[in-house]
Amino acid sequence: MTSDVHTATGQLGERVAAGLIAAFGAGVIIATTQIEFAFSSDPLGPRFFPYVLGGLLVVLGLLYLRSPGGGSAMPQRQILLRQGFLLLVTVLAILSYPLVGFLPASVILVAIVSRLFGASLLQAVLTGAIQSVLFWALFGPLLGTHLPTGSLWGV
Amino acid sequence: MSFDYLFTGFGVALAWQNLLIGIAGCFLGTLIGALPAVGPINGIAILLPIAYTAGLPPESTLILLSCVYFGAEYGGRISSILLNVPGDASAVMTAIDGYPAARAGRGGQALVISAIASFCGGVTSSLLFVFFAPLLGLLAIRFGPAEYFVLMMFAFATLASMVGEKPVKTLIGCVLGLLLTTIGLDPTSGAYRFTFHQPELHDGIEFIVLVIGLFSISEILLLLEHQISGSFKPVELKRGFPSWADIRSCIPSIIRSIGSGFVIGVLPGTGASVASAVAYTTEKRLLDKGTFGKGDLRGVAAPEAANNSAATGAFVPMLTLGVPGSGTTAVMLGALMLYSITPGPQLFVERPEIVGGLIASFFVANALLLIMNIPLIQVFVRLLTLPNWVLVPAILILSILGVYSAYSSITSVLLMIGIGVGGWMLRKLGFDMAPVILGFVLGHLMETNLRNALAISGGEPQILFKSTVSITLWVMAAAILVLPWWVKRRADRRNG
Repeated sequence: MTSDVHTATGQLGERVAAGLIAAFGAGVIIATTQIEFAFSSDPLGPRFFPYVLGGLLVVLGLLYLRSPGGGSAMPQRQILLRQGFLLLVTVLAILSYPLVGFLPASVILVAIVSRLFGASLLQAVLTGAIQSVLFWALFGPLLGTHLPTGSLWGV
Repeated sequence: MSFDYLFTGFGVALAWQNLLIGIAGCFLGTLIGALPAVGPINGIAILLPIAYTAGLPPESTLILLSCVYFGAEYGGRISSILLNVPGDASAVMTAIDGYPAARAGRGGQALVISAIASFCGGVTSSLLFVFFAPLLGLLAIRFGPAEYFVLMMFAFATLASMVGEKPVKTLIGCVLGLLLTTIGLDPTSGAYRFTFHQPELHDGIEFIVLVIGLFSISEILLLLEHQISGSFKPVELKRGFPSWADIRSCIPSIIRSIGSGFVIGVLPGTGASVASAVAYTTEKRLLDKGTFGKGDLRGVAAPEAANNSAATGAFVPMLTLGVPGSGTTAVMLGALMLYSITPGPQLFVERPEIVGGLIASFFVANALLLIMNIPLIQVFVRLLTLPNWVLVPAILILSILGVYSAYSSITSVLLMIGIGVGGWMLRKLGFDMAPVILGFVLGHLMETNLRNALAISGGEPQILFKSTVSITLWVMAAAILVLPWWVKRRADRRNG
């Protein structure tokens, strides 16, 4: 019974996705009409390929809509929230690199991700510090990548 | 046939610094392959910018990446067999019999058999490569824009009929990959396509951004899901080597799988995951008496031999035609392009140290990997027992640094995260990532060659059907698309 509900939810999700894929294909066709060019040395021009691909997406999306299957149901709300949190923290850490620098932002990011994957507070903090320093040393001083040092510290 | 390039290559591969790079690559590759979530494509995509930034010469970079590639093919089976978590798509089939063998306390036997099968597959296919790569190189000279376009069509046809249970999903993946290549400046007309007045999109989407996003980030999201739902459980490995009778029973399966694996690996658009699937299903059809799927060692040997054989075979079209045979060699092609090296038959003559060094490194890598793997099985197993709270943050930071070190752009890193979310959604819907990657890699070649061919012919599409090579490829593509459908329909009719 649970499995049936699971399959039905999965198929509904797939039908929605199939509809979105077909709509995306139509969007590609519309956006292709907006491509501007003055001259093309070949008879097809820059619009031909996107038109074909957009059309193919519409057809394939509709075919997929007709016979969904093979996908899995979307995760429970609790899992989705944690995944969303992981993404949010990652994006914030990346955005903060220019301001606070790679090292402090990464220590916090690694610690939070580590905690999300089941580490205790101490383990998470240690993992954050050790991994961030190791990777900073590997990519920065060893390989010569210019990692952000952080404008906040006046560096 | 001259093998001078190979002698040059052994000189390059056995130079002490390249040998050290090879050993490091084999070790790293095995680790990368063994780690759940980091397959060979991720490993190579992460290491490529590191090697480039470190200023390694192209031949050393290629040796490093190919050793990582083979190492990952060897290592991918470890998490597959022990955790039922394939390191990459090509290790999926190994899990079918490997995991039940491990649960039955024969994990050590399965790991040793898979190491032997991988070695046989890698070395034999390297010999096949030596004899067939130059011949394919000669054929490549006859390839013009029209033939290359038809070759791309053939690659997509093989992918559609052989990958996954749902060809529609494979095709959607291909089209999405192709569409991504249209973003940015069109080199032929100078038109900006789908950039939406964003300067960051003028150069299009970078390959490493796409690969790391699609594979690593989406895998992290999936791992978090498994972690919370409790479906991620490690298993204990017991000691044990297979008997001679076990090894002997696997030999015919290994030989058959090497042959089919190499041919499939050579075909652009197929690669190791398809090869291992074909090898496993063939052996199951030939030999199964109710033991396959329950820990039969032949079910481990076949996909492993095919997997490594195809891994070598995939280099043939990459080096001779510039067409990658798999997602991983697509990244390798990206590596060549990064060093402004154009693959093709002339590469064998103009840069013998690169081609020869690479082929010689196949032999060296396989020998090193067998020597390293059997005694080190227990060590790798211990590393695998690292908790996810150590492993996953490391994968995340490596992914971020991989992209940042290559492009020094926060926007590229954010784009990678966005692509990762898209990849996660596609994977939840049951899409394979390989068609997206292949579509992306082949897209530029496909469009440019089609437009060039039609520019040559003055817009006459007959040019696509003119040469013997084109016609042969069209027929093969049609056969690959139609034959499975026809065989299935016939079987359905027979069964009423």
